[in-house]
Amino acid sequence: MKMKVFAALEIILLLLTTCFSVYRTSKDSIDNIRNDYVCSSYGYNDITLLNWNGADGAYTSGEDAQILLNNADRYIHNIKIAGDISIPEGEIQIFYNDSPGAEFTEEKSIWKSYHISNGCIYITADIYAYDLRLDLTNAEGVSFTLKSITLNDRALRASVYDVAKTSLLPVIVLGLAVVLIMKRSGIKPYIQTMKKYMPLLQNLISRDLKVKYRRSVLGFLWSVLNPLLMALVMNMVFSKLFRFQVDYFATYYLIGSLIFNFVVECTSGSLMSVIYAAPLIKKVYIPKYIFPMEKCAFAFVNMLFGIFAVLVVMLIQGVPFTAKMLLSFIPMIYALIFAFGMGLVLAALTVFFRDVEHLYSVWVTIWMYLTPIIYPEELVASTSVATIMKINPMYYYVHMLRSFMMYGTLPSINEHIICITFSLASLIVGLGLFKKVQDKFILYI
Amino acid sequence: MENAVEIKNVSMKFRMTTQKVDSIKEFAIRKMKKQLHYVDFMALDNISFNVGKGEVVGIIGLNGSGKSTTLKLISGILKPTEGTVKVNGNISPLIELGAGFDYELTARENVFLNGSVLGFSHAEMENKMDEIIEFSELGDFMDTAIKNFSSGMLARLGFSIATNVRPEILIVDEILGVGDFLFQQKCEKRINDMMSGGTTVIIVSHSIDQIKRLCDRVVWLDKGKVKLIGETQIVCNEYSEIKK
Repeated sequence: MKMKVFAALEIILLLLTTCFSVYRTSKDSIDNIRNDYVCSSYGYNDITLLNWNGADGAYTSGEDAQILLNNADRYIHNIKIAGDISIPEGEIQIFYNDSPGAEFTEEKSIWKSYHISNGCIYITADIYAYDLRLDLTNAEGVSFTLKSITLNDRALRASVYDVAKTSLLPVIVLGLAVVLIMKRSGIKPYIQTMKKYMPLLQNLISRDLKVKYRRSVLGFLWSVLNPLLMALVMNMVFSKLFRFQVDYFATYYLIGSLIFNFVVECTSGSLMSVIYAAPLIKKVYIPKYIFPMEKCAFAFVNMLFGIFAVLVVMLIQGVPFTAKMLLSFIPMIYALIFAFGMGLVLAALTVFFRDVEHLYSVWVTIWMYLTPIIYPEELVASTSVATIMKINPMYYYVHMLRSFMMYGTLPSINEHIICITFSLASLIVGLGLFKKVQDKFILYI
Repeated sequence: MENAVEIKNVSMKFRMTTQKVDSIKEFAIRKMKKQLHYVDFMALDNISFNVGKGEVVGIIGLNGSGKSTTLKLISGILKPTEGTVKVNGNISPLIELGAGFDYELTARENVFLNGSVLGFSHAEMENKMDEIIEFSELGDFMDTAIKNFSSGMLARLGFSIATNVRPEILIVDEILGVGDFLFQQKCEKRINDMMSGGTTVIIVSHSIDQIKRLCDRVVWLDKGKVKLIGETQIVCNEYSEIKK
């Protein structure tokens, strides 16, 4: 019963999110026309051009062309500069400060590569700035006429086609692949048994939920409160104490930990699942994969509760809601498949070697620090840790969820391919190993 | 006659390490020191027999003759090392009553949980709920957490679920000692009803009287081998002989 109420709440929240994002989008398209160029971004219109020696809005080579944008005071995801451009692709230097009147210093400058398409320069900035200045250093020796400049605090709107191509297509491909793997492994008779035991799966999940929430006064609220309090602590420690340069740190942390904790809950739950089910396995025949599967499904339900916490923090911090948040389920499903495969391996190993549990808990701690959850990705970008980060599957799931939920960007198809590869590899290894040794479980539990 | 259970050339071998190794650390050390010794134990050695649909078959034998192993093979808990076990129809094992009870949940919730363990959906259990409550005589306690139940109450609930799901094959392992004598009579009557209703029943018991009363045929196992299969009367008489 309770479950249905939560599911309904979840759906209502998602619908609200959508409405909100549509509202924000329409607000986004206000253009303020000033002279012959346009600066748009929620009514923002304080712009100065320095060293632009040509006629109004034109630049012909000389000193660095500078564009000064005062009182922006926002998180800027990307910048679009439109005009008559003949410069090659290169890098642009962005100076910025994060409080009014502060100096532009070398520390507060970043080099960003840009790309040109449709006569516009696109720069992905990903910074919070109060004022900012763009230096088109590399554009020396060329002429340039500015027509408009747009600051976006989230990615440019993607068309339905883009979404379908870069996000839904990979999911469909994944679905087909999973079906194919299952067919190849002679699944037909298994599906029959699986159907027969679906009620058991449901019952076990609802039992776990009841046992988890029945004994506490606040019940399910803990699922929301716990991450909220954690976010509060992390926010204080890391953004105030260590001064990490991450915008919306609490949200950044919470999204990362949402999916990381989900995978950890799946895997460490699965790890002991077969052993805890020993009384049952010894008495009746039950397909044994049901137990890791149940733990993963249970963790998935818990993660859905956790989304509430993320939404609350996003509202408090004023992170813009976008329609792309609705695609957040994609990395979650990738992570689920990955975690299930890993859970199968761990469950099987633990039956034979009980100390896997302790080894795994050590690994979880290491894993957490290898994944950019409490620290910004850029912090390790230029160190050797970056290489490890790149072979860490968790990094991709965390990254993709942040793209959808927080930045409102569409991950590239490559990211999807990497995620799917990790998920499928884990699933294949998990199923293979589990199937091979499951008949021996009974002798060891 | 169609067979409900076909056991063909089945052997069951347990491999046991002489000392239990259950950690990676220990495994690695012993492997290096070459101290991993295994002892093979043949619980069942090439046994074959069939159980026809609707038949009541008893399995007898001394302790350690492989009776329970055979039952576990039939119910699918164990997989045979060699040979095949074929089962047609759904099984309700009474090897131990109330498999999968969760003590934190109420009796009613446990009916659904136990039902799903046996492979029955929520709706199916809903239909059987009244019968289960009536038979177990636990009407007033259905919404009590079963951690507060006595062992007799638990057994009644378990027996009631296992027999009310109307399995095609019922496996009974020394359980007719449930509750007071009135309930015991009720249980035996229930099993008799099921037998006449065409349910295949496989019984393991040390009580020759019970076997004689209930079974059509008897399989006598001895040290993992089939010693004798046949009419209840003949096998039971032979079996009684060695007792003397």
